[in-house]
Amino acid sequence: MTYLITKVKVREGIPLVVKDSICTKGIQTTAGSKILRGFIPTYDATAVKLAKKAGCKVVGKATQDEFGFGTFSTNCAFGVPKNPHDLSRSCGGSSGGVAGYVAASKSKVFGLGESTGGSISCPASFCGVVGLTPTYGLVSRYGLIDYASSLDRIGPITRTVKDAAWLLSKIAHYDRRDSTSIKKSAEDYTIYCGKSIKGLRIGIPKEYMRLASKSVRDEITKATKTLETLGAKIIPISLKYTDAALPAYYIIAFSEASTNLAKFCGMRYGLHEKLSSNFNTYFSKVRSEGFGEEAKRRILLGTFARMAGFQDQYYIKALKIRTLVIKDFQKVFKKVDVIAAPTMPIIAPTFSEIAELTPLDHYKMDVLTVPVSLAGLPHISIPVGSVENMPVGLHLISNYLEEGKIIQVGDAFEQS
Amino acid sequence: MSKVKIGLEIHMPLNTKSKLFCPCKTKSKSPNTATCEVCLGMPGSKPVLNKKALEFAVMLSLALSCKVSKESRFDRKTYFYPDLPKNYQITQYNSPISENGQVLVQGKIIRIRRVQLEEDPGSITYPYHIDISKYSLIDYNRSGVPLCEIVTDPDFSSSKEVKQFLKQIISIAKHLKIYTSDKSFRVDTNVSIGRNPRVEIKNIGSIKDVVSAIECEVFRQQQEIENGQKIKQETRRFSGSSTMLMREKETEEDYGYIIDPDLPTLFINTIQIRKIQKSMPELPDQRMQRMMKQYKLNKSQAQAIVSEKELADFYERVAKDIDSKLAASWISTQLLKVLNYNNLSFSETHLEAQHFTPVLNMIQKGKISDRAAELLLRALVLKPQNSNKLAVKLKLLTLTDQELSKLTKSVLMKHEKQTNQYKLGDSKILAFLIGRVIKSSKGRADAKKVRQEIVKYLA
Amino acid sequence: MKIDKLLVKKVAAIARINLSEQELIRFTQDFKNILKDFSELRKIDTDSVEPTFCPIDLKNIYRQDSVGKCLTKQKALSNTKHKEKGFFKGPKTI
Repeated sequence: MTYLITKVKVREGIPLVVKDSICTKGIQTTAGSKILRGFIPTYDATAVKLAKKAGCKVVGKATQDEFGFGTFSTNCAFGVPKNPHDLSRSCGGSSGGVAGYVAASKSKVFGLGESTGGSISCPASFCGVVGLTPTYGLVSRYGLIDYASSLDRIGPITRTVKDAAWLLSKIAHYDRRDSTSIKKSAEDYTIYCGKSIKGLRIGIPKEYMRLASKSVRDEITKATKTLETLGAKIIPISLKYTDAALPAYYIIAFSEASTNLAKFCGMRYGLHEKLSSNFNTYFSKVRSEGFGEEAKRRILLGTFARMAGFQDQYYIKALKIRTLVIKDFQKVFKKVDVIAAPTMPIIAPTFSEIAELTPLDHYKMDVLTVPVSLAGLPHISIPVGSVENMPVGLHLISNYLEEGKIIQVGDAFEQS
Repeated sequence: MSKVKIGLEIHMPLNTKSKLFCPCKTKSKSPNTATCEVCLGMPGSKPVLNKKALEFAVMLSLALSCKVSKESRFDRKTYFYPDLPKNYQITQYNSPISENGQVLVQGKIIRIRRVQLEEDPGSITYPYHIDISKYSLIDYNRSGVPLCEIVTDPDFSSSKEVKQFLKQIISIAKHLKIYTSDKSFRVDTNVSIGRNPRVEIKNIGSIKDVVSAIECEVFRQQQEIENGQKIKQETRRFSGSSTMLMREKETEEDYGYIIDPDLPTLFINTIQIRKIQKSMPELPDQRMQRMMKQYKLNKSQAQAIVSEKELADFYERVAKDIDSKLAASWISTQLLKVLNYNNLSFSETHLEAQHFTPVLNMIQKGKISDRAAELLLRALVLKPQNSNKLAVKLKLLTLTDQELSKLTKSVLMKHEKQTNQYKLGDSKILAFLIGRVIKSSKGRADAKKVRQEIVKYLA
Repeated sequence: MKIDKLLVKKVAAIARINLSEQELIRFTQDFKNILKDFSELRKIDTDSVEPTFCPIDLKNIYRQDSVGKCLTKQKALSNTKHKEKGFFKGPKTI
């Protein structure tokens, strides 16, 4: 079972599995890419440092879609993880290795995943574990190998909501080494567990339900009924920019990624070639050899979207759509405390089903997670049921820095 | 004659203690010993802006009368080169620190288009000559050093104006204490003649070279025009004696500028600007006005003295111990004359007040003539030393009365014919005799005293 | 604006990625399909909308000008075989 790219022998401490795009001092960190094979960071990511301070020990670096480029963890240079519930199915992505490991592990283990467009929620949903993506800027990105700098976030993947709340409390600290780190005092998020959700207003966006398959939709409806019996008020809402969010997300993500990945060129670290040619030839050789197909595709599209003649209609346009998506959510949060929806439109697909998909089909799988990713809002996916014996995840979304609310609702459901 | 138009882009390294986006020191002798994950572009590292660099850029903007932008951002300029650790440079493309300023150069307005902050790349060298080396060697100590880029409109019409402008900018930057001579600035210049396309010459490292490069390029373009050839828009470099075509060309669209999402927007309000303005050291113009008042100098003296900060500092040290007007007269004329003759800036000499003040003392006391003082200065500029001892060594001290008497007698005896002419009433021949005595004294006799001595002797 | 092999080739050159003829054909088709879908955004009116560069409200983030610890030369060079006498070795620039 390939969940780990690098295994570390650990005797004591709280076991922590870390997605391989998060730097760990002295331990190989590849971001799932051939171009970073052998890279040993000289420093720990801040989130790792803080987790270690809380007693965690890194037991391994988990496999993933290369640089976070994928929804099924099938774009990995070092092995595709298989869903522990059904080995012919995907773990989801891009943090599939972490989610699969946490789900398959016989004993309790904590996971640190990363999300750009839903890469914590998706594998959590597919593997039947909890995936918590905090508000953008709440957890430091220092030491996280960048996919898209205005979208990336580190968050816990665990067996229970309380475990996720515990780990979040340990890693959510202001970091002066990250300019996008929020200046906020630390909080204990576990206090939100065990609280009643009576009177809490939960909105169900009709667009999200429409985009999910019927069987997934039924499980979500069952889950929201449970929340109702626990005292929550269910309110139908609309998020009209849901469809527009997808292309906007991808244009921004690809544009930023194409600049973030420019540094990988066979110098200073990672894949090397013989220095026998001129610099452009050398760089092109290393990059063509080291990047997988999806990485190349995204770099090309991202480079295109920010070219002088095309920037206005793609990159700038997408940034304006982002403003509309954020306003959409803000309008809704005047009426509800938490949004509830299916995390993914489907259950974990089989690898043969995935092989039939076009690149655009892959991107469209993220339709339910990219709006909240664009907006930078906190979200959590909790397992609420199953279809064909495969887990189904419920997505809970709250306003900026209101992680407490989604933890409260998630924990209440879990305890019911 | 078609009009020559020249524009400049000056990249000035700032005098901060640490780099622009990380806390590394800004220089180190041994290669790659002033680096960290951030300025090496290691995966996962993130930039954090140096507040001092921002303040320096705002100060410079105010000194150049630019309008400081209310909102300013950083952009990523993506291109591939071995000295660029991230293969993008963090710079300011769309929203720089300030825009639309101006500087007066010899009464002419030179418009400043923008002032922006950006990071320096590393430095490339080669194990052997560039043409035969199979690889390059890179030192990232310089990577991430803060640069202030000043972009002018193509308002210059001559290399002379450019030279004056650059000297002024350097003086302003040094007065603001945002730039020191131990760091080298780099200039890109674009030159066009009439309606012809402009040619860019990149990476010139000194004022002298900028002047030469412009003159070479103007000449080259004029030759091409005269030969009926078309001027191509291209990028060239300066070899020291001519401009040459650079091998790689980057077109504007290749850079694919996006704002840097790792760095939040800067909002600079009037209160912050006023605070920075209050903390600014004295600018050359202000210093000039003050010196005119304080030391009773005329405008041209004061202007010449503040043209270089080190010279102005030197003057004020000297003026503590000696007559300020005498000092000003000698520094703004004779000393500058000697410096210009040797093509040196004052900061390139090691001349100090302790070497110079005694020269003025000797002039005041009549111990040396003006001519002798000039000769002394010429020697001191090249090798600063004890000027009293040097005056004796070079036999520049004015003759004593006894020595003058003896010399006058011997010269007059050698010119019997002219002496007799004078005795017979030809007073015009006196000037000739004075000249002969002074020549024999090798500049050590004062003309007035010689005249008195001759008249006394021949009375 | 024409999405064709020539455009994709140009983009690949800018991004320093070599494409085989097959890859060029495949990526050109991807470009056509994906950009057609992305172009649906044109239908949404954003004339009076400002772009959002960062999802949270952050401004004026900076640090004091103080010197911190640097990496040792060995650590800085530890991840590469391309090094010589304390320098990073890189490809030649001509």
